[in-house]
Amino acid sequence: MKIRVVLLVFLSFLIFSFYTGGIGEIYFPKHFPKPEYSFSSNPINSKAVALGRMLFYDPILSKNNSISCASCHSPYNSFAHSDHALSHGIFDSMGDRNAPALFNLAWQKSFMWDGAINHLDVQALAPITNAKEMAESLVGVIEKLRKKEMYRTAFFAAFNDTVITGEYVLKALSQFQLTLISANAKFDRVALGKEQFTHQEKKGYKLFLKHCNSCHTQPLFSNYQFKNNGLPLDSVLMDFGRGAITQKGSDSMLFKVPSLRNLSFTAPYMHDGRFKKLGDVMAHYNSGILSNNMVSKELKKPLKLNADDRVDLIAFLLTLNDKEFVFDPKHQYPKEILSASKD
Amino acid sequence: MKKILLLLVIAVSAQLRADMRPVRVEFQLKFNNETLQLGKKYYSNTLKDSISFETLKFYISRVIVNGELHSGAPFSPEAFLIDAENPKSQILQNSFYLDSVLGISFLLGVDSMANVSGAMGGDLDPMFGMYWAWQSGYINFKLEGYTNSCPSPKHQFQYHIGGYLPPYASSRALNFEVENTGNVVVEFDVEKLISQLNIQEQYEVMGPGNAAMDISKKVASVFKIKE
Ligand code: HEC
Ligand code: HEC
Repeated sequence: MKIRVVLLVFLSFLIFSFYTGGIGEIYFPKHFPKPEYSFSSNPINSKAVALGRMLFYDPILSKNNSISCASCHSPYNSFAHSDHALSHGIFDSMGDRNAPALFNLAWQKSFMWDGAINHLDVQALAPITNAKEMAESLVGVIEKLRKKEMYRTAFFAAFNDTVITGEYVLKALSQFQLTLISANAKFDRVALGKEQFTHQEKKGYKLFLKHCNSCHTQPLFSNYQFKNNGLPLDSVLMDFGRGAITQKGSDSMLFKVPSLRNLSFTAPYMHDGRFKKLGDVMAHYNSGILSNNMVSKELKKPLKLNADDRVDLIAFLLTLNDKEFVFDPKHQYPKEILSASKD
Repeated sequence: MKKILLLLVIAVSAQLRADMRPVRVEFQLKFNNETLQLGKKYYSNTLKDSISFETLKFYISRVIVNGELHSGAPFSPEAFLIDAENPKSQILQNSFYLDSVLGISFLLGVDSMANVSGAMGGDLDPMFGMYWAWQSGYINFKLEGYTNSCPSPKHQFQYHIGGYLPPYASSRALNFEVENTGNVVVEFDVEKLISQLNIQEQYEVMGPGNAAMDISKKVASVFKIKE
């Protein structure tokens, strides 16, 4: 009898821990909303995650085997492109935009600065086929992968199928990227009652809630909507953002609100990497916002932050740095790739 | 009494068996009533010029064939990629049986759900080059080729027709009555499309928008049931 009760308690405990813990290799932080990604059509399994990680770091995805996803999305930069305002791809070509950091992708509804991509699975098609990024085709990638014993084995282990298809390549890449969850910054520990803000961070948090949270909504620090934060148009790049996708005048100059997590690792900032430092960003919000009717309503009134406010606000932003995520060895270069380059 | 009932049941089901057959739908791709061959030089009466084709591929989805007694369930899988290069792709077989065929309905292109569901397999695998990389969405219909009437650098024309978001949702629902009781044969004569396009001026359509909407309607008008 006693054993039964214990067993029951144990079982319900197991189910409960699963519930808050997540599925397979993924855990869903308690203080996060429900994810957007449709896990039912791509159930997470550790073999597929491992395969996705290999693909992410393998330059085999580019035409001349020189560029991997990680070339522009480095783990030590929270998967952004370090020190590059505009991303740098194959044959030293310069891209048109700043490579965004990659994390918490399961919570995003659309991808790219202009939301051109509607699902994480199909995002990888863009860099693989872009002439300035990897200049390959999905069929070309598949042909190369099919020739490698290591990949034939890994695909079979992940998807239980003897053929390598485009669907599997894309789903594996998604699986790895879905495990990139950043939810262990000081902010998160405070939210879960495990730690406390300093006096200065608290003041910064207040300012943040007043001026920034409407777009950079906690706990993801983005509402993932398209907004105009008052940046002047770069006359060389002529990037109209969302407008070019929807062909609607009202969407012109709107860009997807980026998350503010891990900012210390992701400089430079904005869709074209125009600001090198957080101080530059602060100066923009304080006195650089254009006054025209394109600017989103949340930023129409001047913020009037004094020097102390700006320092406090930055102190709060630094509590969004998640070192555990950025230095997590599970997300870094996998050893398998090295041995593969030999065969 | 019981015996008679049993006999009746057997008789009726035998009757049904005899009249029913698996449903087969065939797409015949043509140029001026000839079977279309990629790479071959044709003479277009409407262009008064020669023309050749490199690619003709399109999606057909939600295929439903209606019979006299009942209508069939949608064909499975949900979407088929018809490819001029691959004759096998032009024949759609279904596993269920129907009595005489009265009509067929299908979608030219894939529905909006398929466009937002991430990576899919089978004919919907993005490796077939019918998915846009730079902006999510399937290409419903692709026609590429060459004619001197086309002023582009290599005299090449490229129509990649797609888009799933209103107001530029470009898949088209088609519905036909079928007179005969044999297999359903759907004809698509490319010359009938060329005659509706303005290839001298609009020879490259590569994304969703008004041009794609206009051309998708013209493409849809070309399908017809073979008598
Ligand atoms: C040459 C540099 C480069 C390479 C290589 C590259 N990316 Fe990117 N990535 C970018 C840029 C730039 C953007 C933003 C593009 C835009 O907004 O138009 C981006 C955006 C993304 C996004 C969207 C993030 C968001 O928040 O919207 C994801 C996901 C992504 N890349 C994953 C990958 C994967 C997976 C690979 C490898 C298959 C890859 N990238 C290869 C530069 C690169
Ligand atoms: C109206 C919505 C909105 C508000 C309010 C807002 N932002 Fe932004 N923020 C954006 C958008 C949109 C971008 C991207 C703009 C671009 O690149 O074109 C952005 C970009 C940023 C970036 C660059 C991030 C990166 O990874 O490149 C930082 C940092 C930032 N905002 C901080 C703040 C702070 C601090 C506040 C409050 C003082 C704030 N934002 C208020 C919309 C907003």
